[in-house]
Amino acid sequence: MINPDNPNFDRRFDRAMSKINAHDKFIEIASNFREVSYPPGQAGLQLAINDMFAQRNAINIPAIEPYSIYSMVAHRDPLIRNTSVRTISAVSEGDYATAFVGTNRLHLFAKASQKDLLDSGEAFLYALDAQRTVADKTTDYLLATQPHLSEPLHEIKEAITRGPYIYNRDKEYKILRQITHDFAYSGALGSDVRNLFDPFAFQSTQIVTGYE
Amino acid sequence: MKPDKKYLRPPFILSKIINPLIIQFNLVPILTVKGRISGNWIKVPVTPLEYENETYLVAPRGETQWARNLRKNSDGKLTIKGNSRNFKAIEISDKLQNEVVAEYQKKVPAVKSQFTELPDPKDHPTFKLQF
Repeated sequence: MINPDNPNFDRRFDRAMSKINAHDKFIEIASNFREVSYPPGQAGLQLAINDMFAQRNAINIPAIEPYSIYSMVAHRDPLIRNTSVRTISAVSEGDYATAFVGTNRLHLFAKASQKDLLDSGEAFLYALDAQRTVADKTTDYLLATQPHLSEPLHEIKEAITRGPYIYNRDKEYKILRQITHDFAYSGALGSDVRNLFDPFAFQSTQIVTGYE
Repeated sequence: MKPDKKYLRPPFILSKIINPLIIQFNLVPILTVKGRISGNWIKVPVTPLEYENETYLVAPRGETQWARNLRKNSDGKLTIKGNSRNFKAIEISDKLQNEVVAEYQKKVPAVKSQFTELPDPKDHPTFKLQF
């Protein structure tokens, strides 16, 4: 029983609510994206997870074999750097769809780079660099196109550039990826970009699935 | 038939994308209220107003979900920069409401468009918070 007078109320409250809210949010995300309703309870949650895994697989086309990813990271394949450069260039020119394809591709390299330190984290830094620019430019785009949201968007931009996460690269990368994919999912960057959104970039979805 | 409530529904990008982000990052004061239907605790970003040594909450979008929830269950929690305080909300009306709403419009210019659409102070539920 959660008692609001207990000095540990905040901690217990957040712990108790995070799981419930994460389940609800995950089903809501999948339902909005697929434009279908899911049955209540665990069965609906499982269907939503399956659909979102299908979306995650869809954005990784053309699929790269895990072995090839590790090999490219370990050999510091120039394609990784080039993908980062192309992604930054695309988003600077307002081509958000190409930029999202680029960050999704770089994310595969970043995970391999981070996990096994095959390249002293070089691929991760290329992905982080591209992700920073994409987050910055997409926020600027929304500021220009959604002036009625300027106040909260300025708050988010402030968090991106000077937030408490900038000294923790791993956390910063996750946050930036979450923000950009939240924006993509909203449809504010166009339907092409919406179809490139990664449902597992949302932090709360990780609580549900343990994925990432 | 449901009563005609004056409520400016926030756009999808604000309610489902931006508000959850600013709640997650603790960027603004957060109100926690109990859902009147679900019974779940719900968090929403707000701009509390300090006026004559009291703290008030004004609903710039009219009959918002959080205002309806507070009417049903007056217990809530206000979190500012990570510090939380529990409160009991008392809805105010008449002269005091007019004064508080006028002060709110002065101090929070970002809500100008909502007050253009709903100019009558009575359309903006206003609560005094007792900590």
